Amino acid sequence: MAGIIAIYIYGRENSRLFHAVNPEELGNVCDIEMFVFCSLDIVDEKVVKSNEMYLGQLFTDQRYKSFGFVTNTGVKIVLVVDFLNSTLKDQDVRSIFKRFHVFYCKTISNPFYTIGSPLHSRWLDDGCKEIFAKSE
Amino acid sequence: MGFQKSFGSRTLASSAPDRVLVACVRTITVSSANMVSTSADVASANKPRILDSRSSTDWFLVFWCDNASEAGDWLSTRPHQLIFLTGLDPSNKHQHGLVVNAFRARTPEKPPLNLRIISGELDIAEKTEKSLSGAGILRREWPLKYLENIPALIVLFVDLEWDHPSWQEKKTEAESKVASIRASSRQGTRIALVMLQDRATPTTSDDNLAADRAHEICQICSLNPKQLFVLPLLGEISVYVSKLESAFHELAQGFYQQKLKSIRARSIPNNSPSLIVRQLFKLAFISELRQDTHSALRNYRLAYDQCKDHMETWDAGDVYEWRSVVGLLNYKMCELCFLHSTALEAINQMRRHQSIFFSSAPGTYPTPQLSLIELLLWKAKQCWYFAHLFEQAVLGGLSALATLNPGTHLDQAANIYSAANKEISLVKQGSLLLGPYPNPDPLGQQTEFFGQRPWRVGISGLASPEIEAGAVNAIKQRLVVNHAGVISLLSAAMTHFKKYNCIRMQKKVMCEMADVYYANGDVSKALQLWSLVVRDSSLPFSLRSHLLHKAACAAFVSAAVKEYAWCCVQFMASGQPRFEKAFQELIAGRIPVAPFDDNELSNQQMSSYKQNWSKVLTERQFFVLQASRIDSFLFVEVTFLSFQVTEANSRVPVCIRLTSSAMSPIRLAGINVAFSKTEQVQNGVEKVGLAPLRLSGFLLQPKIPTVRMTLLDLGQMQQGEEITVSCVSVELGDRHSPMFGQIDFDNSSLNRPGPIVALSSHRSVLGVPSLKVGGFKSVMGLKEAVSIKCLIGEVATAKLQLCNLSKRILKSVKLEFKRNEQSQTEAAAVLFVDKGNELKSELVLAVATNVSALDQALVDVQFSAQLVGSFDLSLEVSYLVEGSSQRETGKVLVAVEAKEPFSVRSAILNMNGIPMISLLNHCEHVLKVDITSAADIVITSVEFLLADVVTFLDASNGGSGTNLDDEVFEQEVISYNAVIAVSTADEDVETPLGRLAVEWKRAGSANSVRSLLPLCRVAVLPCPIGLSARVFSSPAAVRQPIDVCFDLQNHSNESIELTATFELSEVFMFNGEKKSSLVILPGSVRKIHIVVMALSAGRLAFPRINLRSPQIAESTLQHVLRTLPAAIFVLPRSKEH
Repeated sequence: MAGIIAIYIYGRENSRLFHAVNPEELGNVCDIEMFVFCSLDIVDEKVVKSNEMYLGQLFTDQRYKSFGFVTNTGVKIVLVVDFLNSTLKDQDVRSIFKRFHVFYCKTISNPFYTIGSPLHSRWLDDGCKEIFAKSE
Repeated sequence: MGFQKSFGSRTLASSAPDRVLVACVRTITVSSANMVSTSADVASANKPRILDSRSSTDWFLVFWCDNASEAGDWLSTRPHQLIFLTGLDPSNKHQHGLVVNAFRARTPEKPPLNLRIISGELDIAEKTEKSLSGAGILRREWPLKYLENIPALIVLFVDLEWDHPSWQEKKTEAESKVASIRASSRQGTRIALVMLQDRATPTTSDDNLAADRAHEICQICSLNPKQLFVLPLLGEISVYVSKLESAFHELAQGFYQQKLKSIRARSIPNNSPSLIVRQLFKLAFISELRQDTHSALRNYRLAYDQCKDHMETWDAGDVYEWRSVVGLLNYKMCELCFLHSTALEAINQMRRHQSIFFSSAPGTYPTPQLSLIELLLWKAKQCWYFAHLFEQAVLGGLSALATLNPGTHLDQAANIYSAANKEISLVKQGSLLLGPYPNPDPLGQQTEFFGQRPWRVGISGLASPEIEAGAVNAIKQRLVVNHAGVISLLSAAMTHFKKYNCIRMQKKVMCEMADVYYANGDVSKALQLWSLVVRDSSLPFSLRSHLLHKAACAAFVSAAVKEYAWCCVQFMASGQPRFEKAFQELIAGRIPVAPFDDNELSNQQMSSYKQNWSKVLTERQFFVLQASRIDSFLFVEVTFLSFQVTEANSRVPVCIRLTSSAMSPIRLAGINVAFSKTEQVQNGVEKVGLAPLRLSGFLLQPKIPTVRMTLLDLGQMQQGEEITVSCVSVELGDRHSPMFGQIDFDNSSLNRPGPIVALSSHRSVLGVPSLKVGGFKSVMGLKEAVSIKCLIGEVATAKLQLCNLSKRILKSVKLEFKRNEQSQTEAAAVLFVDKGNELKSELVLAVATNVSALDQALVDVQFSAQLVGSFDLSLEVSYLVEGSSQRETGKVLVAVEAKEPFSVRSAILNMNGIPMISLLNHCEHVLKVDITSAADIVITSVEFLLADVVTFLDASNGGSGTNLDDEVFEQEVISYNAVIAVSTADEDVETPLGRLAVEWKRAGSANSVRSLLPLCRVAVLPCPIGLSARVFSSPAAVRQPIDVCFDLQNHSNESIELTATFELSEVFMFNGEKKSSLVILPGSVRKIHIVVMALSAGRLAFPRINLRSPQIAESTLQHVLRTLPAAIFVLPRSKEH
């Protein structure tokens, strides 16, 4: 699971709920932000036509490639992976999304959480740490 | 923009079928005009549209290797089968001209032939031995061999009839021409002979002469019968020409098939990747000519895989040559995939191509730096080529998506090219002291192979060190940083993103364009683009800040006052001290703090920028910022402290609240609040500005709201107009100082929740954002709501405080009660006390003659509720407004809760006080009335108003009467009694006993109310005989004779026989007749006297008799007996007696 750069969670109206960037890539946050921002164009198009939650590969440039996932409630998860990463198979990406979907569900199960507000959760933080650690 | 235009024109002309057609027609046009055409003519006519790298304006010419790597003109079109037509003379022979025109008419459904008219001697290149020195992979000119030089078929046209008189001569002439052509073509070119005949129809099979002579001419010319054709010139030429073309195509296919066989038959060593690739490329290209595109794709793919598999073995000096070949193969593969309508396959091939070759090491030849630039340019070109292919496919009908569109590839090309520009810039910076340009030019030589270095033409391996050094020098000198090329690519990408509605990608492209403009020194354009992007609120905050910082740098560099202030104001919203300081200095007219980090700029640069600022600040500067387009540190809220609809000709307070999210206090010179009103015009509604209000002298403390009030005069407003705050201009700096700016808050930026509100989640600003000027409406109202609790019949007083809420004097104020306008029945039943103390159902009351503005008038309304319930009395207030003759009216509501003063419960008792549900006709009973009070009242009179059948016998001890003073508190009960007897002819029916008249008053009140209440209804039982007892010895004493008389009265019309029996008792001694029989005549009374002596004193049972009668029911007699007293009180005797 090498080369995972960042993970972003967006609400139904594309408001950002959560984001985590691999600590090694903190110097390129702006580039990653712009890349994910552009990926949302593809998400918007794919969401309408998609029959499943996994949207597949969204966008790619010379540095990154992104994958998308949309939940039944319209929450979008975007995974950013290094462009040169060839070890990450489609099944791996799906499993990452599934895990983060579960983390998201656990987070919003908090009775004190307001839907649509930024997510602060141990589940998500630990999940990110884990995938970033594996990608080192 | 130059690139964009040329790009656009190419795009329009790049539809594949059209292009083929255009190419062919042009070729023929040139040929027919000159009759002698050369390959150069054809090349110029068939000018490439996609990969034309030789234009001096083209951006790819910036680097030496591009020229070398270009495939050439042939790549721009689909390859067509080359066919030479000879023997035609269109300029001198009309019939030949018609034939040429028919061939010229190309349509997409016709076979892909490149028909070329040849006259004179044929000059077909012979097969030559290639020099082995400096061998490469693919020769640049090789594809042209089959496209331009070696025809698949040569067609000879001769004017020859079957029955020509000089048949033999003509036959010999044809034979010699065919022999000459055959001698010229040594590459296996096929030959065909077309006989042009003046006839309308083709030769039929019955024509023996034609058959014989055809056989004859085929034999003499050594031609297959399939290579001989007859063209009837007088028939439909276009039809025959079309058939001829199909036949030519078939013959050409055979030629290419033969070529494929011969190429495949060559033995190629397995350990020579370059030879294998070359052979596969040739097979693929000939297959393309044969129109077998699937075989072509397979061979191109095999060649590509061969290159990929041997990447590791590439010689360092030949890396670029290999890359060029790989790029060419990839292009052809993608082109064919698009041609086969397998766009996804093409896209996947491109992705594969990128993942394999884009990440490969740049190499070290000729120098590491130059090889890196070489790689970047190659990558950019790959993306660009693919984008073109994609675009052509889209124009051909392929439906692209936001996910997959040519724009992304153009964007990639731009990014890579931009990176190349940076590298070139570095190279140029590091090579300032290069010597003179080498002579002879090492880059001037024409290359033989794809990707070949010009200075290594004809040399196997590397050139001499001097030549290599000279080449590097020449390259460095010819390198040019081409920002315009990147901008052109980005513009093209932007067009696609717009087309496919990729809004965010457009933003990205705009940012990239801004970066390029900035790098190119066009700071104003960069600033403009960054400003546009930053305005998008959907952009992530960090990205926005990043771009804003870039914009600030650009603004500082260009000493743009407004733009720098624009950036500072936005940075201040997120609390950045550096920009706060810069802003304060800017407003003060000093050179602001630079947005650059330490050591980011050299001292020289900084001093240059500061010098620019000094110049700018010496002039008078004024700037206006639109708050709606920025995230300002200032939050302005303006509201009207009034009702939504307000009266004209009044003054409305306006509340202005300013909040700053800056870290330090901000001084404002003043603010101007502009208002606008909507005015009804002929074609709708128009907004008209009003005179602004100005407030000055603000010092905004950080995060503490500053509130100011002012008054807006609505004196000139008309009814129906709506007033809104159109703009608030916040003035920064002194208006008379050299630096003055203002931030304009329009409707969209006003009344945004400020940071304090957001934090504290409360909104402290009251009022409404807009006002509507209403008419002069009813403004006389109650100051306080009035609610009255009263008793039915009681005269209650409602004290009304009528207040003039308008700002005018009201005259002749009247209060009126209109029964028919009441919505509730209870209200309609209310009676009012008029001036004459009479109860009236309607009321008109003069309240006041003059009531000043905001003054009040007191009025007492006395009324008496007649029905129980809670209801609102609706009173109409009417008045004359000062200056008006028309009476205005309004409504005043008085809430009333009315209830009964008391409840009355009446009952019938017998003489012994026992309640009875019915009474006996003609007998005495007690009528008892219980009054339960609902309030503290005083009963002053109780009068029994009995029915006619009821006889009032005695009320002396019942409590009723006049002049009473019975005080009853709430919920207390008071009883009144009377002895009555009912004498009615209608027996066995319920009889109403009458009514009770009660006069009462509230405790402490002087006004009494007379209430009439119904008494109960009781069933009257028939009783033909009446019985009463009288005691004559009074008082009765123990052991003394007590004389008791029983009176029996017959109430019927018949005589009644009765037997009366005295009932003996232990407490009485008895004297008299114990039993007596009586006959009582109608209406007469019989008396029975008995004397008893009480044996003990005290309350004793009354001496009783029993009655029996054959005419009267026993039960009736028992009822009659119950009318007797139940007890007699007997006194004891004193001792002295």
